[in-house]
Amino acid sequence: MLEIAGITKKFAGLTAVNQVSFAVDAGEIVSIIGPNGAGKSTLFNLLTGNLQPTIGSVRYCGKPITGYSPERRARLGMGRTFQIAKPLLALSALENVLVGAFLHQRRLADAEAAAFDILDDVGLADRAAIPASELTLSERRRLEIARAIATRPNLILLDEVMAGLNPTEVHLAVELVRRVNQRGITVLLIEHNLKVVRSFSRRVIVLDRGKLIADGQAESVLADTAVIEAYLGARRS
Amino acid sequence: MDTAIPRAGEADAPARQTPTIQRTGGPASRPVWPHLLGLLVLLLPIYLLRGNPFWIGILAFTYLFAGLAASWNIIAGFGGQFSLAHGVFFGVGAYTVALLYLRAGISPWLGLLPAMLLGAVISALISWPTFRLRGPFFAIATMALNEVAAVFANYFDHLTGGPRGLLIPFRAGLANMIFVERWKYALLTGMFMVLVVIVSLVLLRSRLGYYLLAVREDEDAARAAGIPALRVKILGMMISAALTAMGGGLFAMFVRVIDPPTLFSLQDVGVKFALLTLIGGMGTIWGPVLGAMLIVPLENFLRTWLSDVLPGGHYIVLGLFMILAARFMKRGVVGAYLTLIRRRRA
Repeated sequence: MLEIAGITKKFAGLTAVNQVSFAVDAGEIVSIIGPNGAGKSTLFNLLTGNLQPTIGSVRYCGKPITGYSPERRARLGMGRTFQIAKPLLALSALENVLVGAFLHQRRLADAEAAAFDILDDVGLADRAAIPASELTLSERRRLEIARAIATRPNLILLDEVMAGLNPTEVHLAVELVRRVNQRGITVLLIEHNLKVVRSFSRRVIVLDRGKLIADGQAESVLADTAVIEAYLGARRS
Repeated sequence: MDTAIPRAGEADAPARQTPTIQRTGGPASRPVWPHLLGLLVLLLPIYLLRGNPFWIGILAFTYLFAGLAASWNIIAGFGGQFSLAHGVFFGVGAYTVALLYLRAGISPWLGLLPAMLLGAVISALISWPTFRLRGPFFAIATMALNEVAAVFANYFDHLTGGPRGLLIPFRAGLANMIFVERWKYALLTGMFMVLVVIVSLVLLRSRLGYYLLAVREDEDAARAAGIPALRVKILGMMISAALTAMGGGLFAMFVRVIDPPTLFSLQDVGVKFALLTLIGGMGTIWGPVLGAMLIVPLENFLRTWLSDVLPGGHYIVLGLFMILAARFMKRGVVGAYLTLIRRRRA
């Protein structure tokens, strides 16, 4: 579904993402992990079109989309959330989702019905009329996911949707991501919490200093020495 | 769309149980009739003041500026793009209607259409480069355009009459949009206000309206939801500019003397739309209208009252209002009212 070939992003002297290649198949849940500054968010922004790669290409459903704008990618079925949640603060929770639903439903009444369904689905139905500015962090993250789902994506890119949540909220978020995946939406997410990653992601990609250092089954990747070194530093012997 | 992949959840969506929570309070179920009733009430003074030429004149101005502020609110309030270039569209509308009438004998009623079209086209041309700027940089760039327009109007004097301006002779008649009875002007500008409010109402129940709000709130988030932000902003600007040009055309026929200082003065035109809207409440349907209802009559009263004692003194008072509104009512009169209601309910 998503093929990334030799993608590189240089900022002045710094190479934030260096020759990264991987592919995501339809239906997968793939996690990208890596220490701070590994280039995860840069990689994400290259995939969503918020940044353009210095070299390399991105293909989506066989289509080269490297130069496409973020909105064009969203129209093709790539949804995303932001690391720092970006709810539309002055609008109600319902209206936030409505904005996404308008992509496929031109009429207000239809888009509103779709938005209510999705709010119900993510467990925010009782918050429909509340301005997004009054929602908790956990609710804002759900709202972001709801807005992305409303655009009916085939692939959703989630940037640290669990950061800063308490264990109960993390549990709810994990359930939500699973449910999103069960609807047939492929999930690619950045995650710091390795326990969370293990619990639902069969496949893990590890970035370190801009390079892809591991890609494979969660259990084997997380046991890999290079990965452990990237996270904890080399073992002294 | 151009992909042939089946959309998730389309094929075998399970039948939904009856929702436990009542699905009301959404924008689709908000009634329109209170707005229409409000408009009717606002038009009532035409009848009440019809015999008083001084006050009916002020009323006509109030409606005109209510409509103009509401036009500006479409791109600035809904779309979040603080344009100070609206004086340009206002002037373009005024000159187009006046010139078509004076030179080609085209009725101002018909002249309004090309005026709106020209306003929209010029706004799109201006927007294309300036919408790449965000926030205050956009406001500053558009403010400069106001000055540019004034220079152009002075320079091309064979067309605009230059600094001397254009004088539209008084030939009363419905086709000429020139009336002996002053209340007819109030009715005309009142209808203009009604039109702009209805356009705003329709917009806030449409996809374009929500896309403008989304772009205002967060452009990156909007684009991630598939919203072509630049196109949405330009469309909003064109609607806003077309209505502003229409107001400019009505202004020309009402005052019948137009010159660059009147049309492109920042404090009396370009910034005035913003001032009225900010005091009334930006991004709301009624804010700009209420702002005009409060400020335009007050300004006219102060201008007459202070003209002997302290010429230009009304600007001091208006500036004070502006500061007070900015300090105590960030979302204007309407915003303060809405907050009050919410607190009462909570």
